[in-house]
Amino acid sequence: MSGRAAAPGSTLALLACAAVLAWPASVLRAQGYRGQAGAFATYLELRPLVRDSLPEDQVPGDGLRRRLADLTVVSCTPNEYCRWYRSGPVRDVAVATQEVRAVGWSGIAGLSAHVHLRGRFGTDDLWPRADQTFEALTAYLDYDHGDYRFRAGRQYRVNGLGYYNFDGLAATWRGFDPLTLEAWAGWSLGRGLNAPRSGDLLAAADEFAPDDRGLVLGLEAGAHWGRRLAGTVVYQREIRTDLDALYAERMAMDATGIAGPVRLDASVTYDLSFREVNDARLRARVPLPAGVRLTLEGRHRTPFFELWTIWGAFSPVGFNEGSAAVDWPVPGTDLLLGLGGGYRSYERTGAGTSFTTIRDDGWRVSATADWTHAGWYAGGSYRAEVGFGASSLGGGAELGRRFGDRARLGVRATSTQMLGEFRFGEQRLTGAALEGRLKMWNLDLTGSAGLYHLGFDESPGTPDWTQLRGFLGVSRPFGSGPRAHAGGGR
Amino acid sequence: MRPRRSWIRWLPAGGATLLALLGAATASLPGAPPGAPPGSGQPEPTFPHARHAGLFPTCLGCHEGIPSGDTALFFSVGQETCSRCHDGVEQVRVSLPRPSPRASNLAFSHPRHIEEASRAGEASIECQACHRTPGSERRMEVAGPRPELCVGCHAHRAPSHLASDRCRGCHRPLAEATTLPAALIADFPRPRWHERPDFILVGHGERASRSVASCSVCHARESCSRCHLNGAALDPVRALAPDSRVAGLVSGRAGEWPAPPSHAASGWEYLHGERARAAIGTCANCHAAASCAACHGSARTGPIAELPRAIPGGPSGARVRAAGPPGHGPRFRTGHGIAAGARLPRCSSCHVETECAACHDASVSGGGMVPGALARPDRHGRVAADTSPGSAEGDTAAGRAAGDTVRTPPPVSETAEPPPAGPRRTGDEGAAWAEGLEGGFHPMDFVLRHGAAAFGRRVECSECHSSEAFCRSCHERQGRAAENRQVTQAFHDAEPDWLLAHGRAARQGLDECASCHRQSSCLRCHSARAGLRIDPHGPDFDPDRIAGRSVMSCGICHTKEQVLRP
Repeated sequence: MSGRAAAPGSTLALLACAAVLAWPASVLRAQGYRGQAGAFATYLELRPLVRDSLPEDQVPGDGLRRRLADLTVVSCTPNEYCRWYRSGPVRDVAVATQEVRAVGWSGIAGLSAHVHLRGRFGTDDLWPRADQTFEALTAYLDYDHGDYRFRAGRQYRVNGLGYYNFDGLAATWRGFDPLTLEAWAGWSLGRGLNAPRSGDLLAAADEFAPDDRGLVLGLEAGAHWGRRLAGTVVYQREIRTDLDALYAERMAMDATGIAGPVRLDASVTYDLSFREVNDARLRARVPLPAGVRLTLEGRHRTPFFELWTIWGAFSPVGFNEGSAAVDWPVPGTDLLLGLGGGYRSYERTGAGTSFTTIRDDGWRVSATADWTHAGWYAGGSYRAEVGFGASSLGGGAELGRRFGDRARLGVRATSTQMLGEFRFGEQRLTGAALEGRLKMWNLDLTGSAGLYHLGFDESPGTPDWTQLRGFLGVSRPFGSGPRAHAGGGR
Repeated sequence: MRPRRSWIRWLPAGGATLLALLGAATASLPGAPPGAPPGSGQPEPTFPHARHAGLFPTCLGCHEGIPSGDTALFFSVGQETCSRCHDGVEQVRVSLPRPSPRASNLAFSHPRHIEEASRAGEASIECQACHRTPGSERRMEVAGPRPELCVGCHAHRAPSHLASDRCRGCHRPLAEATTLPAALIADFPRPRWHERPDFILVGHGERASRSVASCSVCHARESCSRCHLNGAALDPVRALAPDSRVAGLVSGRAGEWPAPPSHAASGWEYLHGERARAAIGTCANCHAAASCAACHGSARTGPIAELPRAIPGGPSGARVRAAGPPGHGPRFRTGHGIAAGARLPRCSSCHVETECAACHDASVSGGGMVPGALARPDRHGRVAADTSPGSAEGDTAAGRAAGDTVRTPPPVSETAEPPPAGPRRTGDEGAAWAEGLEGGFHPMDFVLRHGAAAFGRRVECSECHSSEAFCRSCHERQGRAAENRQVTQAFHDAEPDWLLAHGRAARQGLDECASCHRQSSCLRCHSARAGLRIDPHGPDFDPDRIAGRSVMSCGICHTKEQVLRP
């Protein structure tokens, strides 16, 4: 379903999108299906970095780090070259996608078909995957009847392990009310790819990409006690189709409960291969007087890597984090205030030199204010994120007005200082954008256009510049009850 | 002769005015019973009893109807009696029309009190026992009866007027007190328990259930229906008689629906359905079916169907202000994972899984449609119609399942005004997602400043992005990633000894490293077969366990030859 040679499918998808967009709504107002089709285009200017170099003996000074005459910092290798990065020419990028998403009911009670197709193209190769022309995000049949549900085809799983899709079968049994059992099996797909791991996408991105598809087998058990307590346990195993090696073997447990006025959420994902807790969270949401809501969270996080990579063998360490957030809808007003922050501390790495300046902690704070009144809305935010590898401090503001439910127009401004990736110098991003939305003739038009100025300190090779960004989208529903949002689902 | 000073001419008029003011003030004293004079229209001139104390030996001379209860003779004298003295010769003429019995809702009976006194062996009751001006012992210094005198004798012996809910002991229901004007009703004193913070939420219902008769002294059915859309189903409300005066007084006044404490509890958005199913009648005290529209649309199913419907011009019922769909609080975008994983609430009640792709499938930027556009059919294959105020297609028909007839579209929301939109969020919690701008999760400028967020990992980038095919692919195109196997420290130029320091950074943020560096980049030094052969494994690394699960990954460093090529 994926890959670069899917041009015929792409053409069909594009034709389908065009046909749906042009089709009279009255014809499509049949009762048997509903869907949404859209086309979206993004334009932006980019200025890639290019690497430059001089023979080491032509750069004055000594040592591994030196400066050129214009104070550009360069890194030198003895008897080889001194290298640095500078800005390249400004390039234009345009990416367009077209999507069709539809649900149809077959005439057999409980049997429905679901499909989500995406076609896309881009003007050049500066944006990842702009040249891939067609893919199916989902395409499955669903039979939901009584205590059972079966699905067959390309489908998504959303559970404690995250969000991923696969090609195969899934069965659900909910015959004993507090309990739900699910099982699924099929060919697994790479996360964020909608394509097999053995396809072109990973092969182009990594020399050691898998050469074999994966099989997935998963089980989930869930239970709930009224609406006060619910939880699930998930086990999933992904293995090469030749059964020679695992791609991943993980478990997850999620639970959420309400104790008096407090809501508690807990989750754990566990990597059975490395015997590592990838993510563990405990969160409490506590209502306070005057409508204030306090959220407290403790978290441990260690990155997860699939077994086809070597990254897990590099013994990554995790961090422990505590965070708190407060939201306060100010009584008697349309103002919502928010304040949040967190601190994380990394585990000992046992690597690197003792005199390194790399920090082993990080923190963040944020403050937000949102206001709406009589169609007007305004908001402001400040955020600071300081980490061991990158930091940013800045904020934004927005002001706009809604014109009923059919139109909206607003402006948004932002300003952020950034330090990144252990690089010398500081970046400053300032910009503003105009954004709007208009619903007319059963079409939903959205658009935005912004100018962003990037400034660089102590980086002579990367001059300040201003870039343009824009987005335009149009979508329309089709079928019966296309905007229904409150389903009578179980 | 000295001319009379001009101000003297105004003395009588000034005195009369002063007396009138005093009279009005006296009549307005706190504690006056419902139905007492204040605000009862034009002030009537009152007979100055005290100044005539020496003339009249008995009260019954002028109030002969009192013992019999004949209200026509409560004031048995008139202008002609006054004129016997105030004939303009002996005394100045006065104009004092015969007063009429005051409008009142008192259930007091003079004959009955006289009878009770007689039965108790008392010869008689002196009029001044009740009508004496407080603090005065002089005869005929009289005033209206004070409620304290009533409650001091009667069975409940309340410490003060309005301190008891046994109002009917002395007062008639408002509907029977037909002579009371609306203005007087509007000025009824307000019992102190009405001021308690929980009076609306708890107190008034309990009292009404216990003794609605007392409520009827001041209230009519319209008093309740100002807020209660379900008044017809409530016994205490039905027990009250309708009254046009009260209807006029409450007309145009908005209902009051303070939020109960339960509504502020965490998870209320999940629990309220359970409560509603258990006791929808309680919800109906404040809510109309339209109250649910903010979140549920206009689909009236289950308990919603049992809620009353607002009528035009009537109370709307408590409005529900939704900060988003139910359960989608201010920090929903970055915090919904656990609830979704635990299946509480069931996302599938409103969403189909494909809608998650609007944010989660970020394999390309610039695409994606707004979630929430597709409804999940219920177990019978039916789909709820959307006639919610927020819908652009408010007149659409409901879905039809195989074999089902087309469902009749439910009536549109009775309230003309759509529910107010909830607060929005800015920045990373901003409106881009909700509005579908840029079709995705992040604000427009996020890609320009995403570095710190990626290192912070508040949310997992890999939930949506392929580290290899998206992040690294983009970084390579932007010249930020190490190409092929070339490794220099030119990029990380802030660390002078980056190669010596990078191990710590790598272990702390290996997923960030992997977003730029290919595996082959590291193998120049960390392969077991060539290069510097630096062991990357940490002290807790279990080679046997990994080899047992994926010996092929071991082979990348330990057996494959191609990585050794320069």
